[in-house]
Amino acid sequence: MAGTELFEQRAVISGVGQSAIGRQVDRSGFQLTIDAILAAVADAGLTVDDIDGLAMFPGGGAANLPGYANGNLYEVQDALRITTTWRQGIVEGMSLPFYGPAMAVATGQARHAVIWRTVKEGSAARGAGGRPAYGSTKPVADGPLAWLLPVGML
Amino acid sequence: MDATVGIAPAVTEETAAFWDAAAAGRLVVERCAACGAESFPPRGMCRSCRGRAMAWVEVSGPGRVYSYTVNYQRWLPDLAVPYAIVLVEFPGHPGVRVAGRLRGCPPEEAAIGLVVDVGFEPGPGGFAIPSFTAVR
Repeated sequence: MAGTELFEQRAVISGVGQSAIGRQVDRSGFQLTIDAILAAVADAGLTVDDIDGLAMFPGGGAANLPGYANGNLYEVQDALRITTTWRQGIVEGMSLPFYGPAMAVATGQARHAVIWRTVKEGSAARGAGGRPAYGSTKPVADGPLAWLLPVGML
Repeated sequence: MDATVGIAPAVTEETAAFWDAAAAGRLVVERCAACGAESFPPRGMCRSCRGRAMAWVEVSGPGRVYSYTVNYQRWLPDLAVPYAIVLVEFPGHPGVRVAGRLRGCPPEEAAIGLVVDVGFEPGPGGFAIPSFTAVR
């Protein structure tokens, strides 16, 4: 049975940050990620040492397109040199990258979590000589796509 | 219209029987041995009673277009466009909706409620893909 307490009311978005953006940005997705994280931490009035939670989308390195997935949560954590009590790197879900950290904060697993998404599809497409279609970099369609791509649904 | 340009499905334990039947021109779905409910896509588990014993039964149609879309975008090189994609349901088979191409008529003739016959056509990777035709 669903509870009546809304965990979202026990967490806030305290800061936002953004890296340089453009159709072609000649810096690595990793460096842009660090830029955005540092900007978000500063915007929240925090320091990097306050951060004890990390969440990224998509996790697992699932790249449906070149540039779709960038970096690695553990490399980011290593670069920031922080100790975390909670981490999340998931493939699925559009709002889950927010819900998961909100649950972590609401339940005391983390106090300050940074959430990021790094997209380099434009730059990667230029590097690859064109933008391939979603899913076309995989030899076969699996999961739900197995019922969509073969009949021409994209 | 050539439907062979595209991405083939990954075949799994759950879906192999579907693609084998498709190659023989038969549309099959899972039917629960315990409660009789039909399910699609196949998961090896009944969506109605969660039973695990599933058998394959053929759905012969005709079907009815539940929804559709027309793709004009050439999202792969050599992809022939435009074409209509239809999501088809079948009277007497709740729980089953199958997506496929609509062939044999201009894509502009796709419509909700259109009555279609079950069929297949050559798809990507040598697979036969669901491809429906309007009942005249």
